[in-house]
Amino acid sequence: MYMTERAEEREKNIPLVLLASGRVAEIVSLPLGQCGRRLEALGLRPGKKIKKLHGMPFCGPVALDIDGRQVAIGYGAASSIIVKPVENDLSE
Amino acid sequence: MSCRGIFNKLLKKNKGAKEDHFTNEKSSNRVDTFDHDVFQKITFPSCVMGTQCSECPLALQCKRKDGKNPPVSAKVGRELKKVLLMGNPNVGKSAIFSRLTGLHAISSNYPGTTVSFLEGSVVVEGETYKLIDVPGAYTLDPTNEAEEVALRILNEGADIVVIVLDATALERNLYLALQILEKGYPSILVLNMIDEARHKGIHIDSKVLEEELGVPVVPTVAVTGEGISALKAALHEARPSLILPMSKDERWRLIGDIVMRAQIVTHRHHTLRDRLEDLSVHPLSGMLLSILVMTLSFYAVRAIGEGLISYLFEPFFNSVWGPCLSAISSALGGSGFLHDILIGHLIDGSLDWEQSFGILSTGLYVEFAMVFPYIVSFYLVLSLLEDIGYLPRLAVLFDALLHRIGLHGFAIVPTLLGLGCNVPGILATRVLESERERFIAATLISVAIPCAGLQAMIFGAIGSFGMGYVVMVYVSLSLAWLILGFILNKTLSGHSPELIVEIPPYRLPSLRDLGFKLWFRISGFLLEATPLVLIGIFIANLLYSSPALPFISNILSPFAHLLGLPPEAMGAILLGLLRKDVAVGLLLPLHLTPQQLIVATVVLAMTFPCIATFVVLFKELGAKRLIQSVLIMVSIAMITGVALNLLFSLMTI
Repeated sequence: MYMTERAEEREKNIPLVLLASGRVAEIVSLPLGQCGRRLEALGLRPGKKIKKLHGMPFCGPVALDIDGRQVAIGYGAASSIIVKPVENDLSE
Repeated sequence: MSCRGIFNKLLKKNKGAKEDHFTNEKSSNRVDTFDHDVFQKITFPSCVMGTQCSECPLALQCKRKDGKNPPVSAKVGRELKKVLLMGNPNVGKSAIFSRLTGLHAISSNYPGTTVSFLEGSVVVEGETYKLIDVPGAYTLDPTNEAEEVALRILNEGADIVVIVLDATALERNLYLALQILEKGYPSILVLNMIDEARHKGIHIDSKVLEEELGVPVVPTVAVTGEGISALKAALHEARPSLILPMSKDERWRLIGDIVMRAQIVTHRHHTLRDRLEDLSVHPLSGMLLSILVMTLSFYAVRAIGEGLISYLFEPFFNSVWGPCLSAISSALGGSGFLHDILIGHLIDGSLDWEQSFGILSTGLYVEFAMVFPYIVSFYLVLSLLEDIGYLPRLAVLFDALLHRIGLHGFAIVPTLLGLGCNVPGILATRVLESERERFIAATLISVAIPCAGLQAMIFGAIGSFGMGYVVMVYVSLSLAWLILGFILNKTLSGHSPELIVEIPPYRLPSLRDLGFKLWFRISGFLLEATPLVLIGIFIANLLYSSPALPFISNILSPFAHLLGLPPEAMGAILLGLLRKDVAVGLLLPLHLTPQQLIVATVVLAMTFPCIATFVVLFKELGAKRLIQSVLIMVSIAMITGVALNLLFSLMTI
């Protein structure tokens, strides 16, 4: 299912580390394995909207807002989270 | 369709009976009609009746076909009812635990402090319950050690499970809650931090939750104790939920439904706290803030420590304990073996707190008037930072740096703890996931993180020559920390996992929790360090008057020569095995130059750790890793010492 979506919207889907700070995005896919399960336990899962707060310099972690909570994700993990930027309306 | 799906479908036929169960006291028997062979084997294909029940998700509801008792009941049916306290990390489980039991658990703002679980008891209306504070977990599909422990404790069986939810993050917290409810234990939901949720504009209808999940829901504010008596009263109302085992996606869908019905979020303007939370993880302002926080903390530690010394401990030693010792000294005749051991050697006919080396004089003085005040002030400041919730933010800021030395951001916590005492620092390396990380972190702490006792002595001994020399010691240690970490990261096989951490909101610390935590840490230090300081002083005293010290110093004199130190200094460095602070005390009578003192203290700080740290390292790493670690420590200490000595001699030319 994701395959066709991806083909159409390839330009829109980017790794979390490339998302601009302050932008809202919808999670498209998470890395596999232990890392993905840990992210999921923190509430990150495909379809969920998140707001990127900041990315630390020198390949530091990404801080993001999910449901009003802050979560920090190391650079490696954040670069394997694929997101699709959406309009900023995180009021909900 | 998955096995779980079939199972749910089969059970949904009985959904009509659901409502009856809410009012039915015997709702725990609700699965009686499902016979073991058909249903159990669908959800748990490897079921061999009665042998794997501890792993089976349906064990509690399971009735064996032969009519005997459910296999688990033998385990659960003990005299004291067993109550498990479960929930995500940082939801206030420990605070609820301490409110219920009065036996105080250490309650922290960073994940990982309760990896070993706590046990206590609570009496409600004459009935005693055994309460277990289960390590925080996000999910029952374990992703780390703490979650494995949590799952194991749950599978051992329970009479009641109290599931603690953070009301400000209902959706995420419900995931674990559903997983637990699916197991069918009699449960209660606790909606903790309800005040903070209200503050954030989140309104949760606990009645709706109660209806959706079929278990009692109690709103609480654990820090103030609000709702705790209601929770106690609800203990005997605990009942199994009607939630049935389901797949991950079904679970998230159900959570979505529940949250939509039970929770209303009203719009709310950004508060000052939100601002501050945002600024503290911003690359630039976060760094500036962390420098500010660290500097303030450093000055606070010094000011409180010095205040305690000059207004409390020194006056006590000079005007109360000193005259007592003089009286004892003259009663013992002013000399002799016993006198020298207890009171020490008189210097110019009088007692010298730092150089007499008697157990009652220098021993108690080093412990209480030089080290203890800094321990108190250090842990006060650290516990405050911890309870406010600053440490995870520090972890985020330092992640990029720590990643280069094979650790991730959270290693900043053990490192900071190590600045107080290496022992809790090394114990805290357990929050790191892989063995590789734990080895690197523990080795780096032992090598390059001076404990508060050592630092107090460094300031005392070297600071008198000028603060520039103290800075040199710290720069040498930091460089060694960085370089060694970098080398270890490059040479050890494997790689370090990623930082994935929830940053809890800033909170006003509760003085009660802070007080108990401080007491816990200080008493731990006193119990553990006092005997070692006294023994250290005793041995130093014996060595002083015995031929052993010159003998050892002679053997080690080639090393002393390399380091540009007098041979006697090697004896002091060796004694660092017992206590580093005592060892610096031994260097004082040698009248070293400031440069020699720097070399000696740096080598002292880096070589083998003190005996207490040794024991903990052995427990945490095992013998083989310990030997590797010690070899690294000794060689890096020698290399740094020789390099410093060379540098100083080049500078004088």
